[in-house]
Amino acid sequence: MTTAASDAELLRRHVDGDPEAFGQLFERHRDRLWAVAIRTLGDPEEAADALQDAMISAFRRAGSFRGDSAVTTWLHRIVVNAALDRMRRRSARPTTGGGDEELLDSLAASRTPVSDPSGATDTQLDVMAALRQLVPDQQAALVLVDMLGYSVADAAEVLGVSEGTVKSRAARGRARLLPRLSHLRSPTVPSQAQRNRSTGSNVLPAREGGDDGR
Amino acid sequence: MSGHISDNLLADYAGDVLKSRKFAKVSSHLAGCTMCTGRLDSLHSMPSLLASVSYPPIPQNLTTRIDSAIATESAARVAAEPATEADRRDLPQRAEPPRQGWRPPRLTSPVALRTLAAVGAAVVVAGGGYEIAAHSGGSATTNGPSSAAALPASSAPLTTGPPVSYQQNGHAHSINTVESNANFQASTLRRQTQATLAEMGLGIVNGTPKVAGTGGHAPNSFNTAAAPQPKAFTRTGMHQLAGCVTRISAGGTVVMVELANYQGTRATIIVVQPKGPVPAQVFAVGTACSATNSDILAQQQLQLPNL
Repeated sequence: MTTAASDAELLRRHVDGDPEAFGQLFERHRDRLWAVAIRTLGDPEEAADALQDAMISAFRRAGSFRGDSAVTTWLHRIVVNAALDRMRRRSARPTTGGGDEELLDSLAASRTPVSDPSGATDTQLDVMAALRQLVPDQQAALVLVDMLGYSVADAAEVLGVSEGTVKSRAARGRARLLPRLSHLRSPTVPSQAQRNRSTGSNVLPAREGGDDGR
Repeated sequence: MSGHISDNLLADYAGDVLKSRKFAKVSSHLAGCTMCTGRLDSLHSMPSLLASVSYPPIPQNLTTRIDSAIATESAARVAAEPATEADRRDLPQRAEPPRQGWRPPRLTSPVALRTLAAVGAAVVVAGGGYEIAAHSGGSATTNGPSSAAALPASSAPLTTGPPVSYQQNGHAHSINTVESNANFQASTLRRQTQATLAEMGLGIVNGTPKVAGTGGHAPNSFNTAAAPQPKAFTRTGMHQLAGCVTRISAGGTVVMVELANYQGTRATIIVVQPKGPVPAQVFAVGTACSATNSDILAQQQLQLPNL
């Protein structure tokens, strides 16, 4: 009787009044949910608020979860939506071209906008600053697919859009980042996300594999 | 974009979202353009570049903060418990709502403690009435308790089961079991058990439950003519149960034996008052419980008034 309860079982217990079940669910998934929030928002405090809002929302809405997706997918969706809501509310945040370069330059110059001061390299700061130039939908796609290595299918389910839409948003996001990041070299050691991707996803099909594809 | 491929088009190409005609057009351009090939390489390496960015792990104070927020929500939910019935109906694959119960959530912050203190009084009143109602069996419309809104869609009728004998200090004792379809939960084991005891009238005479409606609940809620049980106990089963109860009671006085369910599987709920001034214990034991095997699924302390 010591086997861990499934996510669905924990959620069911929560809805049935078990005061501990939701906390267990949060404990089980908080690291990944945080990873989504911090990458989407860039700012630790905003990410913290978004994650808390999302968890309270999930707590209250658990009764309407109908089991047509995995509990993890449902939790991810709530976190992504909470983060996107915050992104859209950022009044100062530009969402189209024009003044972007100027803002980017000022962000990059100040070196303070998004990260913890410790250990962030110039490359990291450049990437973080560039990510802030994306429209929220594009960024959400890139966070899930490129940064965290989710399959396009999983990302589509989380975002509630088609796989084609995810691929399109991710491509347009990369296009937007290209002029800002093309001077940077990706690390020689493939990331975990990259390894995940090689098994599950067709984001970058082999036929376009460029130099490493043949 | 005279001559070269735009960022968007190139990214669409790399991202495999182009129709074949455009795809072929980009391909043919790339074949003769080192600049665009270089940009394509940058696009291809962008996912690993993005993935290489490290972010801080979830701060410890945030997990504490959210744990507290969840505890606060749990406490607040108790105060509005009947309102959650609407949510419950949405739950798939649930044969029967378990009896409602409550125990304090893990509290990690002063704000959660304050919230809990604020709702505490309401819980005692509403919760007590509710549990009795949940045990009243049969239809919620007949002669129901005061708060009809608090009634679950279906309740867990409590019926008398077969008597079970057990050994206490070398002497044979017998206690009437009670049976229900109740589904005891880890978080509410104590509370649900107290509900059963309350319905039994809390009085035990020579191991026989004394049906002496202490509260407002109807005596007929504890009757032998209620819903049939899904599993009839065989003689072998009763023999095993006797061994189980003897083993679990370990020389103490058996207060209650309820044949029910624990977290969805058949289980026996046993309340034991050990010798001496110590709290009673409630055990949920599985179907493998016998004279030689405890199979304890859960165990909690329990305060028994006036025993």
